[in-house]
Amino acid sequence: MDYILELKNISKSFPGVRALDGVSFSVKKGQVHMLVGENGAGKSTLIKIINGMYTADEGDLYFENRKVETHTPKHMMDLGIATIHQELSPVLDMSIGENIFLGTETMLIDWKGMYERAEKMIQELGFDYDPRAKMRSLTVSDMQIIEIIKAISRNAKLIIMDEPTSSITESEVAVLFKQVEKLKAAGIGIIYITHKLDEIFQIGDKATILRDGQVVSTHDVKELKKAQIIAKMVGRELKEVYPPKENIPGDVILELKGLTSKKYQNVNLKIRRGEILGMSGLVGAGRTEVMRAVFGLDTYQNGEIIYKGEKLPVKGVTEMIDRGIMMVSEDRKGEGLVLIRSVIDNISLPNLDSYVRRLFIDDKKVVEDAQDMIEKLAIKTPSGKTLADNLSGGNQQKIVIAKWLLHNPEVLILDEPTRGIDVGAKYEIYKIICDFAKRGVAVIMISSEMPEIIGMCDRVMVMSNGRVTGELEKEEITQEKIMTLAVKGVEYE
Amino acid sequence: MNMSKKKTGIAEIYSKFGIFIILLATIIISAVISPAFLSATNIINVIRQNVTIGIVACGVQLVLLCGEVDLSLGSVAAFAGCFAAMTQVATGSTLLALLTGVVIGGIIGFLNGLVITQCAIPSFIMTLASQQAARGAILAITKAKPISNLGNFSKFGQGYLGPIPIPILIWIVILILTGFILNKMRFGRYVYAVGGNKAAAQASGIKVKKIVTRCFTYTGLLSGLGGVVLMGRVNSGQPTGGEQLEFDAITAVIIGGTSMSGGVGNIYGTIAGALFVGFLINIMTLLNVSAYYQQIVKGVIIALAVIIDVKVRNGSKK
Repeated sequence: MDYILELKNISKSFPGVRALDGVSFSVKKGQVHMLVGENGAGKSTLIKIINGMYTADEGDLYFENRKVETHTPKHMMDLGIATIHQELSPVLDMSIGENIFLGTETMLIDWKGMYERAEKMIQELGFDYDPRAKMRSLTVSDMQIIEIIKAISRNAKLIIMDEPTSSITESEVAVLFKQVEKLKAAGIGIIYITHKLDEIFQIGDKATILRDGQVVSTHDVKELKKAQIIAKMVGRELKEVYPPKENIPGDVILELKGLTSKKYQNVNLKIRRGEILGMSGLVGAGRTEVMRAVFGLDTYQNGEIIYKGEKLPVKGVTEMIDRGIMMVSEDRKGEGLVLIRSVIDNISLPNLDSYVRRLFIDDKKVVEDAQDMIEKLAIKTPSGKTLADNLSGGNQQKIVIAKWLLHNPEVLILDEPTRGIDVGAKYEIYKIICDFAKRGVAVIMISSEMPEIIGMCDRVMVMSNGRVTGELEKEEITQEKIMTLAVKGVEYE
Repeated sequence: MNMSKKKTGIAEIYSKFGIFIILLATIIISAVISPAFLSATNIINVIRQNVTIGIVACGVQLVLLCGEVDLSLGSVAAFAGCFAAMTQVATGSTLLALLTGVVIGGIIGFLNGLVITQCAIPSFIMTLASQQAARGAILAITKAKPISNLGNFSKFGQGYLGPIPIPILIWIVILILTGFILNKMRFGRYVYAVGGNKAAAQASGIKVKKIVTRCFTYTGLLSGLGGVVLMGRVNSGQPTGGEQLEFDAITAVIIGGTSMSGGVGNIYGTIAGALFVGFLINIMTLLNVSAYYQQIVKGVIIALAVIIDVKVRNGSKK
């Protein structure tokens, strides 16, 4: 057997979650083994066990047919396992060369020799970086390449790539895939985690599908079809389903007139009660910036915001929430949740004012209301006291929405509400959004996923380069039309 | 676009050379307002008065670089310094006294580091605790009385080797040693890596806990040495000595451009930072500014240094 890595019956639990349940998995030399599964299927936990960040509760790990007894990152690395992390972790204030050789230095640093070796290596692999340059000066995709160089420099026998293409451009993907082919030819085993199903067929040899912490099946990629993978991932036939559009827009509740700042110019926009308005455009088009201004997070230079017939003064977020304008940030973990607090604490956080009875907080009411929300939005959590950090992305997003639901919003701005959420949970979020509209809330949905915009929205505003380039309604909303408007004016500047 | 790039440039220049420009300006302005300032005697005096701060700052710089903090330095210096003085009295051996001071400091630092890393306690709290405990212990042991009759021990604070005061010589040796550790040794680079990105360091196979513990040990060793120099200068073991030393040392390091969040900073900045604080206090003293106001100025300066550090860091991120 020429297996590099074999896992046998690996299990791992965290408080409230059984992340892995009896997983067996193996990788051969010169093989690209794709690991697929929905968010929360256990892929990240699995690779962290392989690279020594976690220790499994049960099960054995064999590397080159030898049982591994010491489970530390250092030991795994010495064995020849390298990880290229999805959330990259270089030391930004160190140079490229230092990052490549970090952890392998000799007692006294030979700066000259180190940079010479780094330079040679970079050139041999066909790249053009200055090893003395600071890591901070690189783009994300360059950092990714450096991570690969780092892995190669340590004579890795097994390289784990965790969604390596999630933040790089097409041409960079091509460069990366070329490297993967080279690594394969050199007999290195690769575990490749991806959400992009096409990649499985582009570079994969084998594919293992995970669901709910268990291995569903392992296949030769040649014998595999895309629909099959999707079905196995979700455990059901997958169709992009949206709740029926039955919104009845009422009168105009919010209007932007010539709103201008550095990031956007002359934005005009009307939103009616009970309507779902989509904001489409490429990343950086200025959609989020406009909405941040509406929510009072940023100021604007010119123009006015008219809300319920009167001009809104430029005030802060608290003021806007009191008036009924609320926004769910795209950065769920950063701005939406206090991860180290419980579900209940998170839901009640922006509403604490309303629970104060004679200086003290009415704890009973807090718990009641939060439990009510947990039921209404079907938030899957072992209990209300579970930490937000321990829930899946979809359930975390529901908590963020629950926060505002309790507050009775009249205008609700959702920024990328389903980013990083698995398919099943997405539908539930869609239903919740439609319920808001049904109750007369004006919903503004910023989304970069076109099917979602088309499936959900009554009307779509498209922005490009800080300007509104068009507005589409009902049947006009098609991928082609949105895309045409989204790239309009990008050529300038 | 161009504007912001230019701004980043200025911020970067500041973060590299800011303290040196400020130090130079301070010296020039001081020389203009007070003719006494630029005399060789005064300059040497200032450096000698601040040598303890300078030595201890080298240690605490490592701790700050790996993203931690050590508040126990002053107490450790007093504790170790008094033990050194007692050894001197008991054995009459100056070398043994020096070794005792340094080793005791190192042991306390090692214990600090061990508890912080093994029990995952914030270093702020742990070193606050050992600051209290060490000070209490040395006051109890000495019954709060100074230790005198130190003989040759005073050389560490007052002696000369040729024309150069011994304490300054000690500082220079420590500066070279620290600079060597930070720039030429693996350990030093790991300190930067741990402070720059703990997760990356760990993922690269660096034993983070070991590195952090070593930093605290190094700080402890230098605190002990600082204590010996301090006690030598006043020619007696002072159990109440070294108060505020940790703040002065941290101030010097921060003003010298080391980031409170770790990962950024160099030894040259720390030299300049220590000298700047020394000269500033000196010129205020020459101008008869009361000690109370001097303390206010110190407070304002450390706040400014951290504000600038944060601004520069935010600037370079974008």
